Amino acid sequence: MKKSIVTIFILLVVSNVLFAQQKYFTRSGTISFFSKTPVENIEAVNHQTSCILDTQTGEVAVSAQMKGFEFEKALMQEHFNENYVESHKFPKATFKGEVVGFSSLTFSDETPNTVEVKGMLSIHGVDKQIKTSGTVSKVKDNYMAQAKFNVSPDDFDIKIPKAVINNISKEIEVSINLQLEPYAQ
Amino acid sequence: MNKKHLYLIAIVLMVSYSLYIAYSMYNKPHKIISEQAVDYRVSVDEMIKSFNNDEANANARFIDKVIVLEGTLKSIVASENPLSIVMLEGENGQANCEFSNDDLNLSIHQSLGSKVFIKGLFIGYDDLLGELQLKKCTIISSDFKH
Repeated sequence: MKKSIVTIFILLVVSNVLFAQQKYFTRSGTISFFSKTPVENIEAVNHQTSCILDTQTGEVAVSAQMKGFEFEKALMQEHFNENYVESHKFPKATFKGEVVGFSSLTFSDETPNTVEVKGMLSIHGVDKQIKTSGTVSKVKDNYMAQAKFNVSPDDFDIKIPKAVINNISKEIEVSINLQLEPYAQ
Repeated sequence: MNKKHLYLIAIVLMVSYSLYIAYSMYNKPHKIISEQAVDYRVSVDEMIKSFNNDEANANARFIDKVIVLEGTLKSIVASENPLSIVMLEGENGQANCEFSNDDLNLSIHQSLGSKVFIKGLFIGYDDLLGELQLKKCTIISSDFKH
């Protein structure tokens, strides 16, 4: 009896440790987006992006507050929040998906692995399935993840007024940069 | 000076004035949050509770508002220069507070573990990690009435 209790206890501790090590996270990831037109270039950055990655299943979730995006010009930031993404109605952008085949990746010498990421991107209350490639490398105990992809305001039902239609690109380039550390609660 | 000249001068003045207005609107500066009036003074736990009770309601109430948040200074996460993230902790949750390094006094390290008040712009509740998020933060004196 005593033996089995000890065994169960050890199993619990071991599984707990394993569980703890398979999840990685950040609360200070960076997402930036860039719109390039002959009229003007617009860039915004969010440095408080959160992410949780399950290295066993490859599942990944990312979340960023719309109000967390900082523009060079206050007026652009105001238009972005109030008129385009309506951040009072839809305060965050999220992504839920997977890094395909994450558990079979091998990590050595900080060399980046090219990976495929797919899942659901939600912006402005609209969900859209996306697929992109990115890189993941392991530096000491952390995973460094990067990806770049294009989104179109049209796909997320974001209406750009005619007056500024030439100022905002049809394809916005989104870059994401995450340094994920072991998740311990 | 004839009428034609007067018209011309008037038009030039009007055009340059509207250009000036448009230009200053285009370049209007960002709000300096540390100088803005405070909308809410709350503790980390009170805010976490509001979000657990009714997230939509709490969003409408707090997002884009200037908040003075009370909590225990837990850690300082140096992130991308020139920014740092300061974690403020309550009993039931924590807040992710973004500081410009210019606004982050080095003496803050001595306050780790103490109760502090952080003023910042509330940008939202991150349900992934269960954390409040503030940006453009400054530490104000440890007096709620400040």
